[in-house]
Amino acid sequence: MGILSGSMNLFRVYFNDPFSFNTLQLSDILEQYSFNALYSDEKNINYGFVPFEYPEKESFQDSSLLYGEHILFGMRYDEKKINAKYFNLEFVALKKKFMEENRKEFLSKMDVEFIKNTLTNRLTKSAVPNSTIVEILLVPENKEAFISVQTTKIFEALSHLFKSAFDISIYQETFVELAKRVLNSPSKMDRVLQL
Amino acid sequence: MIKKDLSFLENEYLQFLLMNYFIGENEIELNTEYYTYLPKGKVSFISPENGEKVDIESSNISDCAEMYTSLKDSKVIKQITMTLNGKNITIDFVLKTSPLRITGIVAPKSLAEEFDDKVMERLLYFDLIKQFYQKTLKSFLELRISDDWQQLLKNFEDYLSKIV
Repeated sequence: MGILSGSMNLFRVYFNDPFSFNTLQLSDILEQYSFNALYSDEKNINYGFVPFEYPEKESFQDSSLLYGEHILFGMRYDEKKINAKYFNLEFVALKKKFMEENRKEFLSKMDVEFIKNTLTNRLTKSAVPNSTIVEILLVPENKEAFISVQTTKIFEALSHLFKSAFDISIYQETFVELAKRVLNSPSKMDRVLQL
Repeated sequence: MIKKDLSFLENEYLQFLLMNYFIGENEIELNTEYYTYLPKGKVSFISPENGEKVDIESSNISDCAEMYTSLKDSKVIKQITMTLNGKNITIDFVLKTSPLRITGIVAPKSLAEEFDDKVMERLLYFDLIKQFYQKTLKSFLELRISDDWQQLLKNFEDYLSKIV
């Protein structure tokens, strides 16, 4: 899937904003927006940057970032999913217990919401997440990045992180954008658009 | 942001690569070295009229009559597996459309001992395929907006009619 895999799959995204950070700044920013720094037990979805060698090296301070003109790091994306059937079973039991403890014959809308939130929080905390590690290959000179996983969720998380950490907006490339970049000639591109 | 739909050009780009292979124009210079590119294993076609899909898998694509028939029937190429052959290196990769992209780059495993050296070696392979992609796509687009495109199609049709 990624750089060191037998079969590499890397999807291009691009940006227009300037990217000018030295290695020290970059390392500090990645640390600030790292998975560990942003992690919260309460959230269903957690994501943040990780070193490319993750999990061997958890800190960016002692991790290699620069490989020639490339900057290499990763993003960890954890999503907790609660089994719907298990949730419903627990929900019924908890409603019953709540009614008994509070000597109620009926539950108000607010009671139901309260029970639902309590149960969601309890199950989220104990749920085991599905983890995805995304490799990110940044080429600042070309204003492009290559990512090893391209799903809508991953792209949204990555867009959010790039905007927060580097103040750059990333885009997925359409064929027209690709042609424009490859040709690098407005007059030739005009002719392509006539096709 | 430009909104025009030019996705048909994605299929034509794959056709361009395949035509270049058949007419022997499949040599390319990358980093001052010469490489040849050729289809390998699998080519997927789709009919623009009824959406019928045809997957052709063969160890010898150039001898595959079914593929010539698909090309003659004006089916468009949806996906193609290719090989880039250099003096000391062979890299396989898959070109897919909707959207146009390269996936499944199978490059030699690095024999380097140091982690950083391994990464650098793999990045060089990746850059090579990236260069191939950009260079051939540029050649295709420049040809596509010139009168020579129609001539290439005509030559290829003549070539096919002699075979099928």
